[in-house]
Amino acid sequence: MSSTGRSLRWAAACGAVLMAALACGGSSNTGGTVTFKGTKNIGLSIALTGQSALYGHAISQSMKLAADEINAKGGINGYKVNADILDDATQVANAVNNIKSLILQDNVVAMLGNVTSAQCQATSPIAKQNKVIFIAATCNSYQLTTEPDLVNPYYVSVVPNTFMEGTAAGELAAKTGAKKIFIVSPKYLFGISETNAFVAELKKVAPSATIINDPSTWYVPFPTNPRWDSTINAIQAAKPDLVYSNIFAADQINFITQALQVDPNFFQKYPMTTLASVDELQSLGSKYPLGMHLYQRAPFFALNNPAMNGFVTKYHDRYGEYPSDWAVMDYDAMTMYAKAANAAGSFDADKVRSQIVGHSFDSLRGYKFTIRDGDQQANVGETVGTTGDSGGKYPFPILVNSTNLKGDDLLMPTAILQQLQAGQCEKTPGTPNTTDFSVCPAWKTS
Amino acid sequence: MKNAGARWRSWLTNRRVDRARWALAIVLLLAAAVLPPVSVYLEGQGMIESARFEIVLGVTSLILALWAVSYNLMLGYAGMVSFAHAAYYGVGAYTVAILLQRYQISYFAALAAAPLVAATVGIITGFVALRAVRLYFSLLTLAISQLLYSVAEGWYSVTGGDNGINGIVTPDQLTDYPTLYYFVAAIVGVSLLLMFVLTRSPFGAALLAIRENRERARSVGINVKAYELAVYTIAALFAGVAGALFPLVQPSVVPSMLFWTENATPVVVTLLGGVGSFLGPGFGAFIFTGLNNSLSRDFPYQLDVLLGAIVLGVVLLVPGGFASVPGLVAQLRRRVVGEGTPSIEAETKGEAIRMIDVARAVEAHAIQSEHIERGRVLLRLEGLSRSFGGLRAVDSVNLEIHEGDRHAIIGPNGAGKSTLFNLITGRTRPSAGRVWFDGRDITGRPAHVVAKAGIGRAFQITMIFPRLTVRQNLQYAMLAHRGRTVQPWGLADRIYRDEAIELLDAVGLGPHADLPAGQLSHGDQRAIELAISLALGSRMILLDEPTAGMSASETRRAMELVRRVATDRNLTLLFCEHDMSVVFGTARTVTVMHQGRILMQGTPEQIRSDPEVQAVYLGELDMDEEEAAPA
Amino acid sequence: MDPGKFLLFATGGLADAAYLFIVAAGLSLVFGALRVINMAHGSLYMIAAMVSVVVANRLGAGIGFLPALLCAVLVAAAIGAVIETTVLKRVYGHEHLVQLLATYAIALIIGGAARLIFGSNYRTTSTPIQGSLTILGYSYSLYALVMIVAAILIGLGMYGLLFRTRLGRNIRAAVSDPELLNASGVNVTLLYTAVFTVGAGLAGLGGAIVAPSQAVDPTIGDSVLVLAFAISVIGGLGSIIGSAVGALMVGEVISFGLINPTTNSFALAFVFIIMTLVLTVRPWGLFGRPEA
Repeated sequence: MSSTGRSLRWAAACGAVLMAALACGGSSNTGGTVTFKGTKNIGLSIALTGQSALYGHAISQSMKLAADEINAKGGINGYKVNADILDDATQVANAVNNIKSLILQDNVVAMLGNVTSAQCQATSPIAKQNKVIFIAATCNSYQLTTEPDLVNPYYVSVVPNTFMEGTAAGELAAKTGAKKIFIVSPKYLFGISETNAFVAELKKVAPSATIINDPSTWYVPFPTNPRWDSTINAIQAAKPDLVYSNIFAADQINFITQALQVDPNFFQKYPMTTLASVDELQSLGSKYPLGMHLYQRAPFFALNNPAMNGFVTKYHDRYGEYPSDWAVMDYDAMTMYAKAANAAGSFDADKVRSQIVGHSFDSLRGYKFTIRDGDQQANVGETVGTTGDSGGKYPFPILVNSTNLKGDDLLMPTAILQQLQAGQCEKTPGTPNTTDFSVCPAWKTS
Repeated sequence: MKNAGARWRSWLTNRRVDRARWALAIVLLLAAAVLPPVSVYLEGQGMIESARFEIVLGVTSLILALWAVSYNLMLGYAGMVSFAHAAYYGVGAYTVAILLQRYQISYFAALAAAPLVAATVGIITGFVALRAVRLYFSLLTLAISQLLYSVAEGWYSVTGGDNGINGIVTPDQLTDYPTLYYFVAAIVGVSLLLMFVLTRSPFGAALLAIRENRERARSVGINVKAYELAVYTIAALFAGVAGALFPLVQPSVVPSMLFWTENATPVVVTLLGGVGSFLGPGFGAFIFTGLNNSLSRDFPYQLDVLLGAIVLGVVLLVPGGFASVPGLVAQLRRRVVGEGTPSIEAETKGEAIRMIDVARAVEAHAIQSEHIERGRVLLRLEGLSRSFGGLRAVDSVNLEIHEGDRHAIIGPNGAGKSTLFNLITGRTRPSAGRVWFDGRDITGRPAHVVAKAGIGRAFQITMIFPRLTVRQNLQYAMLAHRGRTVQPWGLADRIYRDEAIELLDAVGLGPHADLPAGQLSHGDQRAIELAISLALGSRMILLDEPTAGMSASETRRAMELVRRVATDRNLTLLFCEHDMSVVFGTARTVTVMHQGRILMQGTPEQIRSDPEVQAVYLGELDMDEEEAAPA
Repeated sequence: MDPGKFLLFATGGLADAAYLFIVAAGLSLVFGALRVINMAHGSLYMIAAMVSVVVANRLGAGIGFLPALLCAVLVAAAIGAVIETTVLKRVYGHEHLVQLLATYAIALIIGGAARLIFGSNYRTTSTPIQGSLTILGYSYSLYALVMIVAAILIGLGMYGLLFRTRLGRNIRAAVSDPELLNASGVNVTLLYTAVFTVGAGLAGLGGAIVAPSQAVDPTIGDSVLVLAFAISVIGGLGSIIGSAVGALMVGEVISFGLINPTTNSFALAFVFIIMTLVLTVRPWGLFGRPEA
């Protein structure tokens, strides 16, 4: 049986090799500098490739910029921070693998959130299990903070959630006085969540307005439709006063481009209220129609303040681009974490958390925001306005006569929040993952 | 002597590669077994960052290994390329997620249920997919995969729609990383073992036969569709097991898991590991996971280009994948050391037929014999017709073949002889008419049923299983024909081994028994073809130009064998042949076909002297060309 | 549904069908003659769209369209020729899995390379033909109509190529009887390169034609590939008329399926139901010929 013994020895050696293979590239940058006690990683799993790589591109740039600025001011608790960024190509499974790698291998002290709600749904529980602060600055379905299964004490949101955005959109639509509204939305958690909030708000503030397309046709397959003929023609056939959309990225660009091809005056005939980010404006440039009613999360050009202007200059100098809404919000997420961890004097998640929840932070958005208890949502506002010429300042239209809706007016009422988290708002009682705020008893009485 | 030496050498060298492969497999299996303690040790030494992460990667690799090996069960063993395998993996994962989240059933119960659900979906969709063959089968699985994806994506009340099912929690018993690893390793290990037993069993032999040559497989009595459906379902079942383990490492199950492009992962893993080997894809999973993890970290933007280059490189340069490394090393060694004899000769010399030992062959145990009633009608054709477009290839043929007869069908090219054979053996469906065999109506029955009923066949073009050894060709044909391939356990290579070797020795193929049949010369392949036909133990054998491509002396030898076997072992022979010396030397009855019809029937003497027959052939052949060989 | 509305949605489906036909016809042609399923077809479509946008914007959006289109088609065709001569040559006659994997690897490489070269930004350009028509009270995109006409012309052109030229005769021979072709003394190696180049050029043409109405990024080929598969399979691999009919079916099913409340969620599933039905009843497709 000497061969067995030899096999065993070989096995041990091969085990080591296997391990080395698996560990390849696993070592993180641990090189410290003279002035720092060491390096701490802040993790981000984002799409650097594939669909939504455009977002990941801006977010990772802004995260690196923020880290450099934090380090220039002495780092956090005497440690240098490192933006530890992994690509997930917008895939849920990749995001999960990445977050495990970030937590277990790179010992990240905090994470920024992923792009899609589906990804955050999968990664938030892992952050919770491992007690890692998770700051969402992109994914924003309100379910992420209210779904009983998902409630996570380490999850903080600095992006207006879908309830807030839907509410903002409802108010914006009501202001136009439109009576016949046509809805276009991407068919996945984000779109459904935001559209429901929009419809609910609209019912409140403009009871006489009606949605003219059937609910099952509100949603279009996601991601990315190359052709929008069907929706564009359905709008023509229905002749609405207003089109409400929360389609974004390539979908929005394709829709707008093709609608303009069908009729150069399409958006004069059928005015549109839509979610938008700097990305869509930048991608379409001068082709982005004027007179569109937009609601935006953090458009730098409409949030004119010294901090923002400084940031835009630095960002533009370094990358030759204008910062997207995501870039702004992730920068805020980084500075918030730095401030809280410094105040806690520790990287311990519980201690940092106690310095975040209930505290106020500076924002590039020109106001301070507070993370409230309950859903740990920042009372950040939404910028609404109408597209108009930038007067040669930018190669794309900007918002004219823009308003910043106050976060406090948009936040989900605490009564509803509590009922949601307690599982009292399930469409099918006893079944998780089916909560909807409009089913809550508190919503019905409000 | 020389042959015995060659045989020994080839056996030795094959053994060496084989042994190397086994050793490698054992070493790697042990490596997988010690992964958790070794990674903990290495972490203690500061050599790796996190043992827990290595273990997580290990678990991910194990699950992927099971998924890939189950894919290879179809691909490597039955030659089926499916685009729906990810869907069954997804079904397994969804089943666990739904049972856990909606019905609060324990994970372990859900783990037991998931493979059954996956197999059920597999058998239903597989039944549809197998309506088409080869490439069209693949495309059909693509459509089915997208349909299943649409169901998962649209059926909100059950699957959670686009949002999937989230927040799946690992059961308390498995939260410890090494425990989780060993639990998954145990499930994967048992699954792999079951699949391994299956591939070595007579059932696995039938799959290999199908992969190698569907037509031949049918003609030895294998119900190709049934076996394909079986392996498709079994593969779906094990994909379901792998999918059921998925929620242990991923808290969300989403519809995109079912999307057809997801199949790229098990396919690439299988490719890396080696399509031709059982465990290869399993190790491919570890290589892939490690590679993917490190490359996506360090080269996120270049990952696709790198992965593409690796896949392309493997496809073009090392098509055998990781599993072919021992073989390649052996080859290299031989080249370096200068050991003269390559284990695989380019071609054999084609002298098998001249080595035929008729006396021994006739006694071979592989050939079954039955008591027969000479003179009874065994095969009866009634008004058998077949048209292709406007052409009546076979036109109202009435024919009776008597038991124990040696019946030849002759006629000029295009007379309809091959079509007639195809109609009898179920390869082509008749447009009209009936085929009776031994009192049973076998009209239009599938080829494997006809084969099982007792009609064996040798083809005009050589039909063998090229990548199986000569011995396996014979053994597996015997297994199939004797109905043993339904058995999913036991070693197929041990069954009928001695009988096969005996017959191979007798027909001059003994020295080549362990060579892949496809490497033999054309003449030797004809000998295999002949041996398979004889070994099937059919009551009646159809030989379609059995001596095509043989020299005069080979022909004489081969036909002597056929004649003697037929006489001594009570076989009924129906053959068509152009070589009149073969016809008149072998046949007792001769039927002449012309333009799809029977022109006449009689004894060789009657045919030889018939003016009408001579008119048909128009001097095409010289009836007295050669003296018929003595009976 | 009144006639005006019907015409509106039918034309919408036609516009979808138009570009899908061009892409699927290339896929189908390559399969028919070479028996290779080209997984990189979508990547060629993408690269051409990318090139056309970049070139058109450099030359000046609108006016630059035609030269950009030409350039894009040439680039796609050239890449196709390179793929054929360096990779596919080595895998003809192999099992189709080998070919699938080889072309899949090429798709990965092209996609990755495009991202390294062009980045992940959405690129847009303007259509050369602007303006719209009003018929029965509804607006129609002039560009979409031109696209439909272009697809018809391309279809006719391919028909002419296949049935009126010597190259076409040889291609048809390759589709129906490869063995005969080998015996007939045609330079098969060159013919295969030509067919693949034409197929790649068609993918490129499809990409360049849709580029002005889309956000172009390195991922746009993915969704087109699967639809092109469905279309060429429904119509019959190797048949141009089949691709046209398949594209029409898919375009109209999506156009009408999406607006109908009951079918909205499953509009895309219908495409695959049709594909499944066709494959089970007539595996070689509506207009294809069964393989011998």
